[in-house]
Amino acid sequence: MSDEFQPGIANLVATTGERVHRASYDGTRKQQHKQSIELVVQKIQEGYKDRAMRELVGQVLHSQGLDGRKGATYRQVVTALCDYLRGATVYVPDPVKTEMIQGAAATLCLRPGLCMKAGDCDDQVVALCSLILAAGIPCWIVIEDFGHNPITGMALQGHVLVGCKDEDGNGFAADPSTMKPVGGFSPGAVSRQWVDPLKDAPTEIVGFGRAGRDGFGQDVPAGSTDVTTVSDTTSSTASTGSIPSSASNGVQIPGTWTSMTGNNVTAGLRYAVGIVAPAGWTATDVQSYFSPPGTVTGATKATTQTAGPQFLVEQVIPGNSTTGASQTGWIFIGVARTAGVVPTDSSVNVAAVLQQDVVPQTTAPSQNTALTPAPVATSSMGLGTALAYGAGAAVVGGVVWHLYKKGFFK
Amino acid sequence: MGLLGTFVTADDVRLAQARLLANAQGTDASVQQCGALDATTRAAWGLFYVSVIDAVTKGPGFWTAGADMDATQALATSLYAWQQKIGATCQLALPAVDPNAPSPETNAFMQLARYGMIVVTVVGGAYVVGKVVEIIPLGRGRKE
Repeated sequence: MSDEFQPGIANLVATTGERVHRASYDGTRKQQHKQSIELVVQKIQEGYKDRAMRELVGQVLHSQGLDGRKGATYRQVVTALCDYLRGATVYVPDPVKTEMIQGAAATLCLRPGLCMKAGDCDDQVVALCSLILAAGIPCWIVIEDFGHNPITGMALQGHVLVGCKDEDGNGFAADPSTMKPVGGFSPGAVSRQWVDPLKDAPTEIVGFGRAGRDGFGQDVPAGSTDVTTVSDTTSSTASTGSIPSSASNGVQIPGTWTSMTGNNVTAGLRYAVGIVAPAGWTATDVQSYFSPPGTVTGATKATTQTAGPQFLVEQVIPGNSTTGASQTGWIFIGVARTAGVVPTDSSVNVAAVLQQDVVPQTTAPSQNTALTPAPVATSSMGLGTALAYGAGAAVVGGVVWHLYKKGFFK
Repeated sequence: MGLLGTFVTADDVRLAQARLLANAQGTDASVQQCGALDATTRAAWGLFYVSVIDAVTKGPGFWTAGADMDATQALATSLYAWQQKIGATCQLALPAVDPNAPSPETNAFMQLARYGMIVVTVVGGAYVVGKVVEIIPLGRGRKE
């Protein structure tokens, strides 16, 4: 075996510095289960306060329109997170003769170079529980025991899933290892044990962000050149996109961005835009103004964007400008939906438009693959629609049959 | 189900959209880190990515689940093509996902159950309607 190819955990740790926990898995079945649950609890405690976990939760819930301010329930949030996890991973049993438990960051690919999308029930529970806890909803590890095989007497494989309680205190199940809807527990378990993964965890206060108000909470090292400072200040004339170098005059965002002359944007590319908006606007208003249909609602701030490209707004953070206690400076990042000039108008002053550059690739590209078009999928019909058609057919059929029996067609 | 269509619910669509979203976000992350991709391809990908986000944000409707699933599958097919195209130049953060791999909503047993439900609705409903209509007095049939 060559020096270049040395599989195994020891080489992985030596070459990447990944943290790997290894221990023997001997002992009675009860001892093994205890060992597994302890590691699951540890992984959950490590994962749920991860900044990237909170970021992912926000992205998933935002894409589903689930907002606590609009009455999103615990069940809805848990369902959205469970569906996301199912879509982003696959269920795969542990490697042979191994009890492998991976952290949520590995399962959800939240770290560069660490992406283990395959996992069994332990891994799925670690990931889902971390997500749910990061969303501010208490959850438990539920251990299901299915007793013994009545014929052979052998103990049946147990199972773990996630248990939560809704706002009324009613328990419900979320099993990321199956496709069962979030809700009731499946029958068959001889016993269920609820384990609180945060039972011995300390309560603490956690704050993200840098003194230089990067606003993104990114872990940008001091003196790093891999950041760009975006300003939301503006002059009395049309903006020229000037970017002050001092952090105190702007907001630092990760990556390298290039100022666009004349505030021109190209459809499909990602931009960071610094603006000064009217006092009283919120981040939601900024997003609404620059997203279709470009309308901000509200008694004192209703306005509509009449010209200029719109964006898929991904993030909005406060800039440095304020008017009294009201935030007026904002930076938003998004993908331009159409090409054009981002204009300054009576509502909004555009200070800077920056186009995202890319980091030169350091890893080798995938092997060239020929573009093979996938076959067209079969047509679908909504089950509700089909049942409605069926009911209509039933009514017509029933009436026609009755009329036939009465001799109306003879 | 071969020649027959597939019956789906809004939850099936939501699940399919969640898978689509996860894959699209992973691919976009790869694009953002790929310096070798030309600007034209990058911009075209950005527009496709926006269309995926719009579709997922809109969500499925109860009566439009079928059309929504068709649209989602079409986007998944397009995403697969994008992943192959981008993967030829860039390192993808995740493997390309074949949209025609078996999925829960196309599970044969589930589809059989749904077909059965519709047949029962039609046949049973016709029987019930026939019985109900019997109590409505109607004139006798035409006489010769």
